[in-house]
Order: sequence, then structure tokens, then C-alpha cells
Amino acid sequence: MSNMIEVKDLVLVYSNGTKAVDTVSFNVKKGEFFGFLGPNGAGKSTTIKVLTTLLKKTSGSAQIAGYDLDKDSNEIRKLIGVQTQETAIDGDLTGRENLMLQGHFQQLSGSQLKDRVDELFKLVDLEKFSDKNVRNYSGGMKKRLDLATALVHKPQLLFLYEPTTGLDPQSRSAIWNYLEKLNKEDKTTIFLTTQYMEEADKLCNALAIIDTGKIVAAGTPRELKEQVGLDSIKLDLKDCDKDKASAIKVLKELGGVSNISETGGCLTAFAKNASLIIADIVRSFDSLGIVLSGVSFSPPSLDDVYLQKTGKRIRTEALVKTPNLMRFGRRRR
Amino acid sequence: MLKHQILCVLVGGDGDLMTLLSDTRHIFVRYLKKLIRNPILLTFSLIQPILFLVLFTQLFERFVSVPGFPAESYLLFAAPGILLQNAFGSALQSGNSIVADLDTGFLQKMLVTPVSRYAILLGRLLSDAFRVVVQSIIILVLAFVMGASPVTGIVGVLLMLFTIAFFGLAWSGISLAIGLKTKSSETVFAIGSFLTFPLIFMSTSLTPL
Repeated sequence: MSNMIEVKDLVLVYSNGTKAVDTVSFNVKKGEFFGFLGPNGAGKSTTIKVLTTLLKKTSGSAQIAGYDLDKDSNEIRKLIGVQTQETAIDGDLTGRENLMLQGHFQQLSGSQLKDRVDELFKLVDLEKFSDKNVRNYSGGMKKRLDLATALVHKPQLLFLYEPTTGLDPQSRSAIWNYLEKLNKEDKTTIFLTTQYMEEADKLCNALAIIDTGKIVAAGTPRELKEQVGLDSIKLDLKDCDKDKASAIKVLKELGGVSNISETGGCLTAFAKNASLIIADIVRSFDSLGIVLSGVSFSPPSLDDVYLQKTGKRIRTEALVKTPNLMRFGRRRR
Repeated sequence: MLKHQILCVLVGGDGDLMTLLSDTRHIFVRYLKKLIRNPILLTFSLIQPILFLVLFTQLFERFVSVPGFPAESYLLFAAPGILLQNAFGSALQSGNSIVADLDTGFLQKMLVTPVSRYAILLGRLLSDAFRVVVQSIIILVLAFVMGASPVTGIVGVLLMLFTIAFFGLAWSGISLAIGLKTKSSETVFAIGSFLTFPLIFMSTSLTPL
């Protein structure tokens, strides 16, 4: 199987000196559903901007479907579909006009484009609203239309930037089904970034985690989970601020706990076999007067992989919008 | 052949002339639709020149009696100046559109497609030129109703509109450049207003030298 994306030692330094992508290398195979994960500001969107020809890389090499990113950018633009970070549709136009316009940009026209547009409206379930002004669409409808605009020319490679953020569960599962179909039946290679680990776990057959501009882990979801190999024990303390320090001390003294991190509830401890030591933890906490409000444990999840590799739990909702880095960057012609 | 080569260089790389033309047309139509669907913007950008036309011509009517005044009536003298001022003012706000496209991500979305890069600007410029010509026709009709008929006849009017189109094109280009450089619609607006008023009053558009 040949590679759809080949990135080697990619570096991007913004004109203000920020090194957003630091010697990154990875490959995405043809037909793969590739997940690109990382906290806000880790370099995800910058990498996507480089790969979608919006930013010029500082050094390194990158090829898409055998085309060189610098020399053949116009060829690359013909075969990629991009759903950008912002829901970039024109509110003054109708849904149909937006789709037609994107089709024209991809040099499609006539009945071929018309049929494709109808097909897409059916697909994203917006048929009834196709001739309504996009300004009156709900957030979820806009997101679905945005996805449709990226698909208008049946791209070989689809870049998706958090496609289900802000969607209700029904729309989310509809989009998941569609993306799986697109990947399996149409053999579209998909490059997905997401904040939802369960989404990455469900959809992707290869993953890379990026943090502070560097790839910190790569592999299939199963491989990554096996690397972590530890159960996580979530400990919610009643008075987290007061008892945290002594709780950490106790956990360190207990044999079997190999790693502790601070998370939303309070603490998460990692251990080889959680069911065996959980009683010890509760007993020790009890003797020291540390009151637990909840304990739970689970086998390794992608969340844990992520947490261990990046040292922070990913936000389940993108509360903080990353600054529009393009403003500082150089735009390509 | 040479002409085609020059055009290819202009279009950039492997893009061809047909692509440039069709992309420009689609972007031009997009901006026209946006304009028509925002009638408030259109109305208010016309109010200023119309006010100038109606109020100033009454206010400065007596200028005609100043020895050496170059026209028969103040209306005749001021109408062309007001036309240019309208083109100037409208075109200078053009940069806001590109800032809006940057903010919504629409520009980035265009840039990841093989759309001709020149068409993105050309489509906008042409829509601005078209807009100022339409506005100018409205002002001309109003001036005609008020009693000003062009001395140079219909050819003169056409030439006037032609000149205004290019005038609008040029200033909208400057405004787009400001928008792309500053990426702030406030700045585009501030620079636009800053340029408009001193230039009007320093010029001979409303008062003879």
C-alpha cells in the first residue's frame, strides 16, 4: 500500500519566531483513516495548514499523493477536500449557492455539478433547507453544510478539523456513519483531528499525537493502548485542595501505583492491576482521614494514552479557540 | 501566441485564461448577490452623495455669481465631483469584505481549492467597479431630474461612467491591500474615512480654485 501523505522533518516557524511544528515526520497510507490528536496550540492546525497548501513550510519535505507540496500545490488542491477550523460558509448565500460555488472553484459545472449538489444535500440531510439562506441555519446545519462543501469534488484525501464539535448526538453519529462509509466504500483517505478520544478510537485505524510541535506517540489505537498498559483509577476527593498532597504521598508509598496525575475530579492513579490495589488505597486514605467522594477504575483508554503522552487531559469541549495562527504566517500565493 | 503567454504568466503557473475568467465571474456574482441581499448597506452608501447633491447645491448656489466661476450653475459644477467622491467612498470600504472573508475562514476555504488566486481579487474589484457605476447612474439620474444635463451628451456620460469604473477599481484595490495587510475592518474604515474627507476638501470637486 503506498502512502497518501509523506511528511519528513517538517518544520514551521512563524514570522514572530514561534516554532509551531518542530521536525515532525509521519506517513498516512492510502485509504487510511488517520487521527491527528493533540491539545489546543500543539501544532495540529498549523500542520494541517501546511499540508493543505495554506502555509509555506520552513524546512523539511512533504508529499501528497506523490506531489511535492511546494512545486505541485495546484495539483494537490485538486485532490484534497478541506473542512477548515472555522465553519467557513457564506451566510448571505443559500446552501445550494454555497455548494455550487465550491463546485465551481473545483472547476465543476453543468448537470454534473447539479447532480452532485443534490446528492450531497441528501447525504447531509439538508434537502429541505437547500434554498434557504445559510444565515438562518442552526450551528449543526452549518457544520453539515461545511462538510458537504469539502466533498463536492469527491476528494481522494479529506482533511477534517473537528467535524463533530458542537453537534448533537444524532448528527454526530450520522456524520460518523457517513465518514466510515466514505472511507470504506469510496476509499477516501481521511485525515481527522478531533478533541474527542472516543471518536478517534471508533473511527481511526492509525493515530499520531502531537504536543508542543512534536509527535509524541504514533500507532494504531490498540498499539497505543497496549503501550500504556495500565489501568487508571480515578479518585475523587471530597476536599481535593486540602488532601491532595497527602493523598499523593500515600499513593507513592503504595506498591503497584506507577504513575499519578492531577485531573478534573482530583487525581488519577495508574496501576498494572487496579482491582488488587484499590482496597489498599481506600484503607490507607481512611486511616489518614482523607474522604473519598468517588472511586472508579477502567482499563486503558485512548484518553489515558493521551494523558500519559501529553501530561494533560484533553478538553472534552473546545472551550478555548486557538488563535488564528494564519494571521502571523506567510500565506501562499 | 505571445499574448496568451503573457496572460498565462499573469494567471500564474499552469492556470489558464478560461479558468481565470470563469473563477472571476463566479466570485463577481457572489459579491453582487451579497450586495443585493444587504439593501441597508447599499442605501446608506448612497445617502451621503445624495445629501451632498441636494444640500450643497442649494447651499452654494450663489457661488455662480463669483466672477470667473467655471460653470453655469453650481449643480453642474459639483455633480461630477460628487460622482467621484461616491466612487471613492464606496471603493475605499472594499477592504472590509476581504477582512470578513479572512475572519470567517472563507478566504482560506477558497485558497485550498485550485481557484485562480487572481480571480479572488479580480472578482471583488470588478464587483466594486460595477457597484460604483450603478450608484453613479442613480446620482446622474437625480442630477438630471434636478436640472443638470451633461454638456458633452451621451458620449460624455459613457466616458464619465467608464472613468468612474476605473477610479473605483483603483481605490478598491488600495482598500483591499489595506484590508489584507492590517486584517482589521476598523483600520480599513478609519483609513478610508481619513483619506476621503481631506481629499474632497483639498480638491476642486466642490469649490473652484
